[in-house]
Amino acid sequence: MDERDELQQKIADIASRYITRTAGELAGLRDLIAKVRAGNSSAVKDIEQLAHKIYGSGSMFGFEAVSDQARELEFATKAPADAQMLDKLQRCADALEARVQDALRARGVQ
Amino acid sequence: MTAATDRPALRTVLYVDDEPDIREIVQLALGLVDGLNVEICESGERALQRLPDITPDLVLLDVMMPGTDGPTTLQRMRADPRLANIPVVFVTAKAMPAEVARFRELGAIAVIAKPFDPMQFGQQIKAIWEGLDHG
Repeated sequence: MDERDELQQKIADIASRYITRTAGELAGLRDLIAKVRAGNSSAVKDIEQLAHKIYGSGSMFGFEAVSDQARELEFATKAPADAQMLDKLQRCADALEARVQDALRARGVQ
Repeated sequence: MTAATDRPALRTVLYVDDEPDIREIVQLALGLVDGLNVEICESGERALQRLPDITPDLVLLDVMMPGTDGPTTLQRMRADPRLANIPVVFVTAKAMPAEVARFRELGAIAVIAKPFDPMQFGQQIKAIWEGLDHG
């Protein structure tokens, strides 16, 4: 195996680790949305940063559907903080969770 | 002697990103470049602390990081005479044309969009370095 093959293999390993960790981070995302619902507007910035991180890394590792959904969530954080925005955040978070579960299933991880 | 041989070799690069998986990818990708020393920091603040000791030829900065983000890190570098002349490249998912223009106005010499191809990343960095006016 040459160093480029080795790099490809390591990237695949990191990708598996990434999507498993991202699944774990979604519980934190739900907590953040609950904080926004409770009036903690600073949690919106935390949601934006988490969504941006998932968006950027997801595309690096070939999880395009996860990345696209995370980007939609990131955009949703930029709207005025009202009931409509909260509903949008929740819908995006639900869809993101579904995309992550799809990716895990595709890799044989439940 | 040709212009190419006059060009100083790229010896040390500092990569700054809060995302551990991307840091690992970059370390691996730049490891394919012969003779290149790759230093890694997990935050802008940590980079600003270490930069005077590392004195890299080139700094690669993520944009959106908690605390001191990439643009703020660049601005603080430019305000420090020891760091002001180190070229900076942003590596970011925020690579829409208006964002790229803003980063260039801040003083970045280039912007690499995420996702990037890890197999090509080292060559991209070398090409940016070789395109710089080192005079």
